[in-house]
Amino acid sequence: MNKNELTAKNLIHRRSFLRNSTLFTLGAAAGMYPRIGWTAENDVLHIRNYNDVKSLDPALMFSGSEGLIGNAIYLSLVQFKPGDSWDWELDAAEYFEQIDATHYSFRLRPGIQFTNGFGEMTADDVKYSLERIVDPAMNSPNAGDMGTLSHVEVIGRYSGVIVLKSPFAAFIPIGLCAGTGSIVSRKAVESFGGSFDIEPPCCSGPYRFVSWQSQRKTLLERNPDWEGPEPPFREIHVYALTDVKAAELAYEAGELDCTQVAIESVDVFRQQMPPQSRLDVISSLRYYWIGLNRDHPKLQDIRVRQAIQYGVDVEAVIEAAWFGLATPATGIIAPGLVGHREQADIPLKGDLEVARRLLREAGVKLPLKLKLSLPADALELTAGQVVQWSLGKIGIEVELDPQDNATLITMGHESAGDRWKDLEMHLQSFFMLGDPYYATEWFISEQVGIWNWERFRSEEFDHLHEIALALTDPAERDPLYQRMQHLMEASGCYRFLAHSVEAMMTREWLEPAFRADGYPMYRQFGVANQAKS
Amino acid sequence: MTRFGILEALLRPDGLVVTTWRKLRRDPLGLLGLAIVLGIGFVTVFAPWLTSYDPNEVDVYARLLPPSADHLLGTDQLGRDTYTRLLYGGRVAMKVSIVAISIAMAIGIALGMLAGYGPRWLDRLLITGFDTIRSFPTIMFAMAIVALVGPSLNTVIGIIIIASIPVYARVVRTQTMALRERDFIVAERAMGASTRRILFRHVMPNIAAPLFILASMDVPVVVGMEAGLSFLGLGVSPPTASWGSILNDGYSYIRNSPWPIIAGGIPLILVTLGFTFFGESLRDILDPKLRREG
Repeated sequence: MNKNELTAKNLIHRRSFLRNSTLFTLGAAAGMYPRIGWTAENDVLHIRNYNDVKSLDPALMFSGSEGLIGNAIYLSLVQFKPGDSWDWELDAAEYFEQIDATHYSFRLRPGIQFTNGFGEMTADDVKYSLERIVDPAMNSPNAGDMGTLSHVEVIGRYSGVIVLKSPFAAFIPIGLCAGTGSIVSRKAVESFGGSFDIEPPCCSGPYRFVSWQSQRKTLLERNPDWEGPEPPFREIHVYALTDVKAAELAYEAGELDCTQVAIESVDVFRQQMPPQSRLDVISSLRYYWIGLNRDHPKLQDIRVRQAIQYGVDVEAVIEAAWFGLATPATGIIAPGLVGHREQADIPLKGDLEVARRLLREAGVKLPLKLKLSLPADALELTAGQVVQWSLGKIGIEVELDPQDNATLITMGHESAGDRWKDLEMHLQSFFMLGDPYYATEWFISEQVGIWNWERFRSEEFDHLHEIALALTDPAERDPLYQRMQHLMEASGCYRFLAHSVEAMMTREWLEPAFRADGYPMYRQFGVANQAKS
Repeated sequence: MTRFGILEALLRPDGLVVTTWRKLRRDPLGLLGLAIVLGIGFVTVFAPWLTSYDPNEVDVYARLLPPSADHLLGTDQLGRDTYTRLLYGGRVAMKVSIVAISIAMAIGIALGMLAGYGPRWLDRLLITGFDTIRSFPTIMFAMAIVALVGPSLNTVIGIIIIASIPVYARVVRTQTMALRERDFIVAERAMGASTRRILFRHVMPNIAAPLFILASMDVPVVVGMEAGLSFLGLGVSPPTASWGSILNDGYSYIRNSPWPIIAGGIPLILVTLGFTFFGESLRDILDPKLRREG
């Protein structure tokens, strides 16, 4: 065989390879179907968590994913009830009452045992657990959740009084129910040097911590020292799966019993539900908006900002990004919470005529070029492209500036350099808990350059925020928060978009339990009666 | 020989174009490749006349529709016509290919001839530079550049040019080194011809054929790079249509509709097959080592 023949043969092989591989790929794609099946052991729960955990110390845990595990292994004095309201119920306390605006009295159930031999839970453990959160030496990122907590007076072995420095309306929902108020054993934590990372020195809930594998899973098991009814699951395997699409596939492959599914997958699953599964679509408190940096030279004229508000078709954004499932936002406070507004000042679809008139009045030379910074995720990119198209109709050319979350999260922070000066518009979402204080606190003047990237400053807003925080009557607080959202909108710095939804898929043999914002409550998960029999 | 004379020589019955075409006609895969290449060229040039839609027109209530008479390849997640976006995406792909390959080839020829004909130290210096560039994984290199200057079409073109220069330069260098000791070059040197004249009048015509083949084979690589960078969000910015961004959008919504992925993948397959078949056929015809006759 000479060299030319060899080369010619190689050429034929390459062509054959291309042709055959093309045919093979097309054939494989046409014939491929996902294998769907599942296996269920009714006393082991496999569930997806949004992210990996960094700490399970209530003073240090900061993300919702950590709170989900904390809910299963720790008790609080009171906790949220599962369901669609933000009502709370007794947990470690057998008695809990607000005495006046700054005092809360409690009495623990006797006999609650900490694991690992750390003994019975006492009022002193409650004092230690709550006070360490606000202890400056602890430098807890959750100190704000405790608001104006002063101290806890221990009256007896099981009784005590929580004392606030000044009224703090969100103390129960934010301070006690949302995870920061979990009770730890003084003896145990002090023996660990005053704080811990992942592995808790002891637990007090119906499940206890067994092990943690970085970026993979956390394993919980029944707490043998639990004095209450036996928890339904021998083990709970909590998988850290950041990618929701991967979680969907894991569910369909039978590796998970419960997972969040992507918004765009809801229609798909509704049409073709995996066998013996149920899908719950729950309104979330997470709110999305477009923020306009009023200190940026291009946006200093309020008429330009208002033109942008009127130029954005929120209805189209929700239809495209959330497939119409999200609730249009009238502000930052979701329906069902104190302070929610029934209607925003700007029409949902916007008003292009008003927008054009405002731009004319402002003497803006068109096209006006603006940059919209946003997370590089499918949902935000879709929303951003609708905004881009929407504003294009009024002569504003929007350049999308997708950023990874780690970069985006510091864009408006003055402490991160001068990038905040270049920030023009941003599409942002914030997590929220069941009290309006948790929404408005990020937009006060003190937060300018921290989380208030719009650099919105209003003395009236700040004043109302302080007043509303000190009031405990929802009827009195409601109009104040409504007014505050009006002020935000009137500043032209915000175009409110949506309150998101959580879509949760579970096996029918499970009885899932979700908080009002769709977060799973592992401890309250049960087994359906049919499955038990 | 005048320029007109060169053209006349190329087009005469025993000239390069006519003989190439005669041979190409006998190679079905080569002909298929040429047809695909011409077809892609046609639809990208005449894109605005081949569709009645604007590639960026959003219609959210018509999102993720399957193919129909109204939307030949369905719609994407924003209700944009996928067929229209493919046509316009082709324009981006072709623009990137033509601009990037032309510039990379021009720089590659200049540097390659310098390396192959110039002094030893210059050859070593340039080779080290080429190897340094080639040693960077293209995606990592692209990520670094995009982090510095931001994603855009020009950034993509710049990245591809930088990544492609060593490919052309190395081929040119090898060919030049092989030619520099050939009798006709030695004779030219002996007659006092300038280096410039030797390189541009004698070396360059002799390396044109392999370069042309290489460029043809490089088109699918460059198109793939552009699509890959856009797929990763490192390429063209939304709402500009690109085959890579169509694939990326389709990937995000693959469970809702497979059509954007299928539609976005077809032109990439066609470009790869078309240019590869055509390029390999040209190589069979033009490469003297593979030439079976004449």
